[in-house]
Amino acid sequence: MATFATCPDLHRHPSTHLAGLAAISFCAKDNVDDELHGVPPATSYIFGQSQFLKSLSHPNLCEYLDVIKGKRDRVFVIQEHYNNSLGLIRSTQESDEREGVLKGQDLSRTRSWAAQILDGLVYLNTHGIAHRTLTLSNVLLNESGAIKLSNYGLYNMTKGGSLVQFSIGDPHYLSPNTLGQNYTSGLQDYSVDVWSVGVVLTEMFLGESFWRKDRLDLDELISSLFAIRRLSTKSKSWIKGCPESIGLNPVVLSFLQSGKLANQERAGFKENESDLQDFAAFLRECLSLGESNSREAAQMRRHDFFKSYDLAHGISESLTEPTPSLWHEKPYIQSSFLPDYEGEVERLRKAISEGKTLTDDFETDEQATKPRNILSKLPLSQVFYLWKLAGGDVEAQFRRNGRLVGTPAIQLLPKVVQIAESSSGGSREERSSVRDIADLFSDMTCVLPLENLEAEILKSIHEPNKDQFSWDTDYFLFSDPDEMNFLQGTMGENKSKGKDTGSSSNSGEDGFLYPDSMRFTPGTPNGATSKLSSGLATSGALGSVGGLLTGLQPLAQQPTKTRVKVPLSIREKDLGYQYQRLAMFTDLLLQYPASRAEILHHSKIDIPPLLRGKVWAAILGVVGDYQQVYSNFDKYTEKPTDRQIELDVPRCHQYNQLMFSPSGHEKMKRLLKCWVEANEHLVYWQGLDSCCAPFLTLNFNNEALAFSCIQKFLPKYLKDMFLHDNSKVIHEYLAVFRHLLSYHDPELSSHLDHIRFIPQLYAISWFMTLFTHIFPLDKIYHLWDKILVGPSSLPLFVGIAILQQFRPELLRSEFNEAIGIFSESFPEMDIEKCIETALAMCRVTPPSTCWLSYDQESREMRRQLSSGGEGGAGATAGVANGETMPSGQNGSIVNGENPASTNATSNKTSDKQQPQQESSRRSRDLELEKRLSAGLGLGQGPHGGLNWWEEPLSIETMNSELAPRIHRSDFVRLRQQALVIDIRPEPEFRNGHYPLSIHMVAGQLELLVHILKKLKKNYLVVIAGRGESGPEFASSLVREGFQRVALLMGGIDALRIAESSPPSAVSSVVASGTAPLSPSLAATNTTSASSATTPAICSCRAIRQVISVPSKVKEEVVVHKCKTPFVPRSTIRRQAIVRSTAVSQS
Amino acid sequence: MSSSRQAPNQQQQPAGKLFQFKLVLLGESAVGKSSLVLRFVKDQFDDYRESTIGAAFLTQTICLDDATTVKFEIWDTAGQERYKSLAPMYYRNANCAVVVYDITQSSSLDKAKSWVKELQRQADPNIVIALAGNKSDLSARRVVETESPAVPRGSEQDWIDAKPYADEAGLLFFETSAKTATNVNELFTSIDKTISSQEQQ
Repeated sequence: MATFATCPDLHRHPSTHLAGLAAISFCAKDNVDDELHGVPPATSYIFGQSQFLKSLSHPNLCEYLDVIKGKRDRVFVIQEHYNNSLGLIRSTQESDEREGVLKGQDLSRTRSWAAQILDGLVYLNTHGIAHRTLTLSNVLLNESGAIKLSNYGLYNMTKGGSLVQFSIGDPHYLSPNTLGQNYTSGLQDYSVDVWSVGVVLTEMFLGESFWRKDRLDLDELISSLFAIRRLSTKSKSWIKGCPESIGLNPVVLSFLQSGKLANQERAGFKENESDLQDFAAFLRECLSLGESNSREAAQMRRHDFFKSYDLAHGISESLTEPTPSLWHEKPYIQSSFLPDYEGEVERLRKAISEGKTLTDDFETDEQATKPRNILSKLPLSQVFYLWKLAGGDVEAQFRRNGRLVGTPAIQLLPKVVQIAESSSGGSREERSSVRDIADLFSDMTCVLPLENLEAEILKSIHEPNKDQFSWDTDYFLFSDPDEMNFLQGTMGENKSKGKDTGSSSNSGEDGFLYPDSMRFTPGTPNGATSKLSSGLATSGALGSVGGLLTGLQPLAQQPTKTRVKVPLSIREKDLGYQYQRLAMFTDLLLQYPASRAEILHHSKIDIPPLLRGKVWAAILGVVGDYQQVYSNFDKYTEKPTDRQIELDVPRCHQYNQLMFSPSGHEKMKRLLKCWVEANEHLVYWQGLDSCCAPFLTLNFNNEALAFSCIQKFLPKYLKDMFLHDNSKVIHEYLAVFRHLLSYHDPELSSHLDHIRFIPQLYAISWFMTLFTHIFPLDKIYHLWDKILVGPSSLPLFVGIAILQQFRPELLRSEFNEAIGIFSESFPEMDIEKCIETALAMCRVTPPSTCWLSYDQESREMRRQLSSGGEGGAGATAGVANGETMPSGQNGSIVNGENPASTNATSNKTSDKQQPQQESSRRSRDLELEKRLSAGLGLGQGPHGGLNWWEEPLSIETMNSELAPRIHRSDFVRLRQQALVIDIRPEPEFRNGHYPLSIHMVAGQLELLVHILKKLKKNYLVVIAGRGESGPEFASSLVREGFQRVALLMGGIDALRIAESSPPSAVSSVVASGTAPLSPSLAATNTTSASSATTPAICSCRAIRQVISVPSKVKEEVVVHKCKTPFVPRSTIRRQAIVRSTAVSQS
Repeated sequence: MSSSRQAPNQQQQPAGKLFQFKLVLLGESAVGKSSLVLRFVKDQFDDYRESTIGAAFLTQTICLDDATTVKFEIWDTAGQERYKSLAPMYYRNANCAVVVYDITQSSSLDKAKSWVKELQRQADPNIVIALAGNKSDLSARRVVETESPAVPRGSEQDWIDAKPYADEAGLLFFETSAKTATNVNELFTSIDKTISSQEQQ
């Protein structure tokens, strides 16, 4: 089943078709004094508590869409809205009456209303909410006349009114039981709403007010309510013996008592009498009081009265005891005191009296004359979101309508000010006795105008300058992180070889093996090839990220017209763009998980902010019944970590309103406790709270989803960071980070190294929290949008990009200044630029430089690469289970004292190799690559096939080196763009070396720097023998400012592996003396050389001859013929210089 | 003092001295280490300060007298026990340490004592250690007393004395409040003076 199919925020309830939006506003209690004592402000409580309301969805309820904290203590609540309400119908009735028209006593209509109101209430009660403000004006009707309750969350979100200065509910409709009732969350008296239902229905049916007209005075009314309560304690039904003095409307009272209408005959009442009796009985029950008599909505819904309506729902009963104390009387503004909105009521009345049905009236309204097709299909939350994008502002709307009433601040100043003698208790008395009328509640709603929204959306989509925007989703695929993404490309290659080979051979044609998106300009011919290869890379990547190859291809690659990239900040604010993105993602999410591949594909461009929570979940691959998963964990038992969690949660991202609210704190604590419970091998580290914050804020009403996201997210990006002892993990991570910095920015890296500004001192909080500790959440959302669709190494590049934004300052700084930049308050930075830089760097970085011994992905890859295709799966499983290699063996190998392993592995032969005939160049090239990267079936080796150089390095070793190491599989891919420097002793070099490599004496780097710089190669790869000074040499290249310097893992040994292939094999990789092993390579060399500066390669012909010589003779011949290393001609001259200098030095 | 560098401040006071002290803050989680630093360095207070992860670094220069300027290089460490393994990186070569506890949490004093022990064992032998009982503004919820009150409140075990311990262990002692700024500057100045006097000996 689709994971998000039932999420209310993804589709519109059929009954909310053509809904409007409206807002109410009120001021929360200003509890400045309490705040000093650690009590959170009332607005914050309201804000947190009301989030839950947004998740409620029922055909008879108006949806809550948002709660906005305004200035000071003002709160705006935005809800679904309809202009028609029972209140409006009732006032029409009254005017009809004045005109002598008969009241519409329509029992079946009343019955249907009653059933719907009760349905809504039952739903609310099951979600722990008592309405408490059920009045005629809070019962709205939609176009088709269906009941829509509104304002039902007011009582709940204000802690029963204790957080506001006004009383919740209209006493005319309030049950006597509510007098003095206190709010206790989770233990609410739902029966009081039933009283209100009784009053509402009575009034609607009889067209009379429940109370006598003179009972509008609050004091009298309240004493009447008390009187009723007293009566009800004496007799079972207070209605029977109700004296007139209580103040009920006599018409109402007589109907309730007799079930007969005074004007029954006159009205030509067509209902049959027993129905009427039923109704009266039903009302009596609604209005009955006392513990044994009061009913909840669910019980009332089962009343006989509804037999003819439809089937009832079965709901459990629970009765709570009202606490008898006084009704908190607080002032209240009635809507009649305020001007009615733009004559709306008048107009509607007129329309109705002219004989139009209500629906007609709305259709003829100006807002209905335009077809609202676009909006009527969207979930209301999206309508509201788009309204805001179109420039809608709730507070401004209130102002425009003159709804923001308040007393000027100056009038509130205390007239007497006490100076000095400050006592803690005195502050309240010093306040002015003048009450700000903004503290009062206005039940007037402010309708948010949606009339022009659709037109604006359409305009935004079709705006002429929007040609710049390409709605096509892959309009800038070249900055797609997967385009040339090695991590995933390599993985993909192993998994689906046939598929990806095309892209790898394609890419060789560019100057950069991994083309940098920055270099492309729109419309260049390059576009075509890169698009092709990116398509392939993407499909490969999809498989590797989630292991979920659903067989779905990314959405059809539509032709792209333009490739102009519009900044994210503009795209996110563009109405038309967001409308289309929302529509697409909504569709995709509803089909998730089947649509996961497409979601991933589109998410790489951007993610619509409104749906981010679910899109992230989809990207992370959350599937199944996550609610069940979450509820299975114990979140309540006390644990030793609780104390730390209690301390950290109130400090975690408190600038964020959700995180600051008391409900936010509760949810965060539950989430963290659940995580601790669910991950027994991990522990709570400070910082985990920050990591979880983005997920919680995006899924505030869905802790379970947030939890499942965290469970997917942490293993991918923060693997083992939360182990009890994480020092190895974090230090290795930081060491890799340092190497990558050297790789991309050698100048900065060596400077930082020089001033001892080491990552351990500043970057732990960056990576342990994936930047959540240093950036505010709004920046994190954008950063993680990219990180989530990228490889797990992307955070490392983000770290480099951060440093690079402060490059000039850092280069000037000594240690103290440098660390000062990142301490205390983190500096302002451009996140989008940061992401761009990180992606660009990631794209041109061979994946093996980011390998982490703790990271499963890189472990797997390492294993697959060395074990070759067939053994891959089994070996991978082995790695996934066992943490690392046996440590003893590990150490000795790293130290280079285990030569046996090389021999053992190199003796392994493979019978699969068949003599290669001249076939297509591509297949041979592929063969070579396969052999180089696969190491000729080493997978059957004694310990799972890791060569000695593939074992993880010790952290000390890593920290002592400045340059990263690359695996030969990457070496193979970048060999044509790389300058390969061999620093082994000359005799060994003569004896055999990698083609294209140049020889250099390690100590003479300084003399040759300028020559190397002139070569302008994209990559520098150092090959050294085992135990030689390769790392030092690579480090000194970094210090000299060479970019993209890497040391080949295993040096010459890694290349020699292929040498041991059986005699029948084509040739050896480290052709003794140069041989590029296969004509294909030679040919490739020629082509690549011709595209480069060198026109020809000197020894090409010699090598071609070599190939044709039987292999036994080959070696000798090669040794004989290739005294000069195999290098482009231009290099040869330089090398001659190199040599001669070397000689003269020695 | 092996690591404190002494450099004449030539620009303004030819006769003046500039001392650089490396200071490390240690103590249990949420006792107010970062808040003390923030008060000292920026004279600010933030009720909802994020927890410190790893460590934070700040500097503050104060003038002790006309002739002496002291620059503090402050390492503010993470309080959670798990981050303890990182601490040596920060207290290595430190001239002074402020070990902080929360007067409303008796466990935080125990933790402070264990930090003192570790410093005395592992850090520079000349390190000047100050014990700071923070959150003195919350004296209503105090559980750690400075000194035994004449009339003990509640049961004997409820409160512990910090001052006698500090005296015994040879620590500077202050009750501070980062929120109200009580004793914060006094704390750092007194550390200054102690180190400077050590230096002169």
